[in-house]
Amino acid sequence: MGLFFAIPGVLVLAGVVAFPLLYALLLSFSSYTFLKPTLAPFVGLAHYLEAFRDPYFLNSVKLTTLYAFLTVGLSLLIGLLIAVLLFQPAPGKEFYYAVISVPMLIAPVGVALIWKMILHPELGIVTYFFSHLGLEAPDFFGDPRFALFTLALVDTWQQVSFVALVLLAGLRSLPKEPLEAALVDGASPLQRFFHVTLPLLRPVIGVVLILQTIAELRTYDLVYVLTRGGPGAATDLLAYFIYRKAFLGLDLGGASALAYLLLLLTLALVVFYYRRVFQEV
Amino acid sequence: MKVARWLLAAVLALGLAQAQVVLRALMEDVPETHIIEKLLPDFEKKTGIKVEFEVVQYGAMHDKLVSQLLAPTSAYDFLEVDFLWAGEFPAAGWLEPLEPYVKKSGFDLSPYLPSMLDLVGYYNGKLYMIPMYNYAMGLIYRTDLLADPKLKAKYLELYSKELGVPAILGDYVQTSVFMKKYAGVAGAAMQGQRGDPNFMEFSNYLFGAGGDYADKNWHVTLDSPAGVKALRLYVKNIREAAQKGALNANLDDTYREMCQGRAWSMITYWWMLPQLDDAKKCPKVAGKVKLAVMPGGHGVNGGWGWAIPHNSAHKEEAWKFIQWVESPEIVKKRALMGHAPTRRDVLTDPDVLAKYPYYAQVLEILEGAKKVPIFAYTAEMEDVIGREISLAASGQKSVEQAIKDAAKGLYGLFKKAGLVK
Amino acid sequence: MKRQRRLATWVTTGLLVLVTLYFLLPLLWTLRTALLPEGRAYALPPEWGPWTLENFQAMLTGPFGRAFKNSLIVAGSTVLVGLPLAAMLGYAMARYRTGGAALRFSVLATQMLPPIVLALPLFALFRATRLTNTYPGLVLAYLAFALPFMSWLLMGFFQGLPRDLEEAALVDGASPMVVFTKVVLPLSAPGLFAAGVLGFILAWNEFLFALLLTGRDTQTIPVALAALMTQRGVLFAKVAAGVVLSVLPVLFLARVVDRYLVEGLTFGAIK
Repeated sequence: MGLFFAIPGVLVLAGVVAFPLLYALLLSFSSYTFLKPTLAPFVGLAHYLEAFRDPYFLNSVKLTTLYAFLTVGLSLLIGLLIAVLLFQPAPGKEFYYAVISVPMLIAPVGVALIWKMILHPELGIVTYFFSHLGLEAPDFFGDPRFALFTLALVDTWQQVSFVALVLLAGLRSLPKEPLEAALVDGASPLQRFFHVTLPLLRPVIGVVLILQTIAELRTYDLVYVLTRGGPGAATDLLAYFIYRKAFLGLDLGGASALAYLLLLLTLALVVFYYRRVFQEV
Repeated sequence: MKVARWLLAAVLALGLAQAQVVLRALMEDVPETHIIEKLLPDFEKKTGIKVEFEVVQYGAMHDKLVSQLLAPTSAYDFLEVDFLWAGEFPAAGWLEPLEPYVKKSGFDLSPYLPSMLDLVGYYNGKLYMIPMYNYAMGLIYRTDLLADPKLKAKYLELYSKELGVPAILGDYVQTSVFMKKYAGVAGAAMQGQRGDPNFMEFSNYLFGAGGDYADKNWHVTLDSPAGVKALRLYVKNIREAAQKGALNANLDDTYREMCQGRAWSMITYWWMLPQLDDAKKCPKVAGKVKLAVMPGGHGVNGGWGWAIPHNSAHKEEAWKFIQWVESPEIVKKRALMGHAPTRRDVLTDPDVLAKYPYYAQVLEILEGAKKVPIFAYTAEMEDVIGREISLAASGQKSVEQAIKDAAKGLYGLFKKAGLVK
Repeated sequence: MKRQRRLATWVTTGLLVLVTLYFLLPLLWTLRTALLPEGRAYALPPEWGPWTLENFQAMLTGPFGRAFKNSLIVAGSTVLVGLPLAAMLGYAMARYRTGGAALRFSVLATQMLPPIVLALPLFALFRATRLTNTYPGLVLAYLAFALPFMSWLLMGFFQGLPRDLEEAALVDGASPMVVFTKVVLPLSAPGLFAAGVLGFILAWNEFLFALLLTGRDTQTIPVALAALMTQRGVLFAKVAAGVVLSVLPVLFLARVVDRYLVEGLTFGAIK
């Protein structure tokens, strides 16, 4: 019976997705480059081994994992707060809702350019405010100590918008009975939240956690527009590293191998979250 | 009756066979392209061949071109190729050798500046492109600050030398740091962003110090004493004299700095001069900026060239177009409309000089301009070396270590391209 | 009691205002930038005039106007086609455990790869089937992204629903299809809305595939925006105008859908 429901979706996915996925795997074992666009000779695991010997690759993995934790963690926390706030009765909610849902509708390129402007070291309004207060604004994108965090903040600004929306939808679709029962039992609002609401919201939070982690591990647009991996290698996230291998290094075989390594990293994290969240379900 | 019908069919067939050829090309959305677009009707009138440009931003070009060059027939009948790809495309066998066309049609290559032909003309001894326009780099500086009596006095006091246009690299950085300290402006507007921006900028320092990336046989010479000196001066300039945020600045940012009057100098593409010397765009500095050769006498060369894809369906017609657009009368027309010349005859033409007097400096720049290594992995080289430069500039690596690692990276790329063992 | 509630409302409102400011201020700044001529848009101290609509005009009459239309068509189609498919797939994974963990993860696996790597095989496939530079081609490519994410999201919602209603209906003799359409779907209206929005913005904001698979006539908003990063500088005022234009109508649409469709559905289901 389940098959009946699943088949249409699976068919579409198999057609459009399975082929590129498998072809990419094949590429990762090949010596395909733009200068020599043939799969043969096959090189087995050579690309994979080479990656582990490259200190810049390992640096990318470290940075990307840190970045993913940072952005997902922040956006979940703030998103949950916003969703709870929007779920309460309060005047003028329509307005807040409208404003908060805007950032996710802007193309990432647009978000990056907006913040590039706002945080610009000489022309940005934020820098201007700092100078008005008599302080020296930090070099948001040019200081290797801050660059990654600046990117994370810009990314979170956009992602929170979406996370809040999904969590709010989750809150809205919760059954009313358990909450009403808890109210009758005399539980305080905080108790109700932590012991009834949050556990019921678990599947939705879990899914958001997983989807956002996948998305953040793939961050590329922001790096491309704002820092190109610099200063030095401070924002050299993995997806951008892979992009360079393909389009500057012209090495599609090597890039595919790196991409599969990213897939393994993502899979590991996803399985980890999945077990923790969906275990009891 | 039957004969008449056959005759009619034959005439129709002949007519259709001579149907108009349409040449298509992918062109960058810059003034150069628009200048040529204005002149296209002349070509169509002369040859009956129609030309259609697909105009896009630079960022979109490389990937679109590659996908066409890999196809059985290319959608583009001729190309404009940036110097960054001028090694990659011939190495991959994607370009048609042009010597036969040049010989057959008696095309005159002599007016072209040798540095341009070296950059976007020959690859490994074979001719694949005809230089289209150039964007070499030089020094743009503020004349009013150099003429300021207070600054002149202070400089003389500190260094026992006259304040003037620096001729050697060391003097340039010294002047730049001086300006930051005493003139209240950044000494130099620098584009320190990792990749094309900082690589191109640093290359000027390298050439200005008398160094180079490699010799004729692709042996790496980056880690020579000149290379270390160049990086040391570059790092000094960016840490002590550049504008705030220089480490992530690109061309856009440095232009604004200079335009707002907040920097004394910038090492940049010479076409920046008319942009800055424009009373409408940059009222604060118009009339106060001038162009000079990179201190040391050698700056970085850059440019585009015309080429014909090996899988073009209309090679003969494409060559006709190249012949026309690079004919002396058309090139002169383009130059008078703002085209950046690649030929000596146009750069020394009195009408052109009357309109653009600073072309005298441009000629000087072009004569001394050197090219960075042009090979299959030029684009990747920019990123690899750019990364090391950025690490040194942000203090995360010592200058010596950065140069060593950059040289090692470059050697690895030469090896990958099969240029060295 | 009343005092507590009044306090709670004040605190809530206060926090909401703070949070909203965090979003609103950069957006207002963008709006200001869009309304100034290109040269003055980033002068400091900030200028507050002369106001002009020239950026909006330039964007609408230029390729951006067409890009906007294209984005609407492509994103809308992605949702229209994708939502039913995703709902069914999500339901199968949630209630019937079809394919077990293996299916769940392989559905998601494609999203774990950076699009770059999938782009070229997909591009080759599309050239062979002549799907490049067409709406259906791009929609198909976007379904490849949107379906996995949407079905996972809906899987989460479906799993959060209490089973009793569905079981009751089945006992009453309803077929699984009827249970799905008449019981489950109305109850998960907020989830469907969220999944629809997700699918829409995935298609709305996607850049790489749009770049490779579209031409001048079919290009979408992200491609048109990226084109404003010219060799001679970023045209910030135009970017700002483009961003404002791309957001306002969609926002309006989302509100309409949310208010009438979702709330209507949930009220209908409670019966």
